Amino acid sequence: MELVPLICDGCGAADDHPKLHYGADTYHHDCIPYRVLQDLTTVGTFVDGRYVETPGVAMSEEAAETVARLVDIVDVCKGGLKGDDLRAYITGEA
Amino acid sequence: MSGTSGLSSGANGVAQLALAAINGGTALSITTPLKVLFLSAVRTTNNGTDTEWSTGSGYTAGTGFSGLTFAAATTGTTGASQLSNVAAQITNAPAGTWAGCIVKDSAGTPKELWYAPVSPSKTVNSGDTVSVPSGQFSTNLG
Repeated sequence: MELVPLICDGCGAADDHPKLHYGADTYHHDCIPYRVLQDLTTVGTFVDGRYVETPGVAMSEEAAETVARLVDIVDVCKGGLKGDDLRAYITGEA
Repeated sequence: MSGTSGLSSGANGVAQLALAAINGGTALSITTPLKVLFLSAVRTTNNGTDTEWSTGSGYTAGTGFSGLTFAAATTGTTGASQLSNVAAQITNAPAGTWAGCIVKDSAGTPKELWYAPVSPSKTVNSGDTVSVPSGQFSTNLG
């Protein structure tokens, strides 16, 4: 499996570590800006350029499962798991 | 998402079904949850064809991300619009190219709803997370 180095729009590093593709932007999982992580983990929308959570609206069960997996990946990445070790954790190929 | 996008028409598209419903024909039925399928090639016309990612790693072809929802519709001088209100994401994506997405319903023969490219397309490594931000499915009629 050939891994392609990609530039992190958070820290600027170019490497083949696992990343988040957030639309056109790309981040290491521990470089995700707060506003992006909030967008990824809540139900809401952008109003005049600001992210606003929608009160009283629950995320679908399917979406919540995906969010839980993402938050877990972000947590272990912030805990120090990087590069091939992080990829092995994500893919289950450890 | 940006570039040529729209409401799917053709064999399994809903454009002609929506028109018929609006014009007094058969009511349009959409089966939830809505699914976001990730594509390596995106149609260039409303009734064109796409190439979906194959099943692998954390991606299941035909299912993709399940559970897309939208905020309430708003109206304006050019018609009505509705924005997605959750991010559509795949963790542990397979290696390949992300060229765009299509939204389908969960009917036995899924109806094709909206499609949109990622411009420019992106290279994805195995294990990456791929996400369409909340609000990026910006749909409108008018």
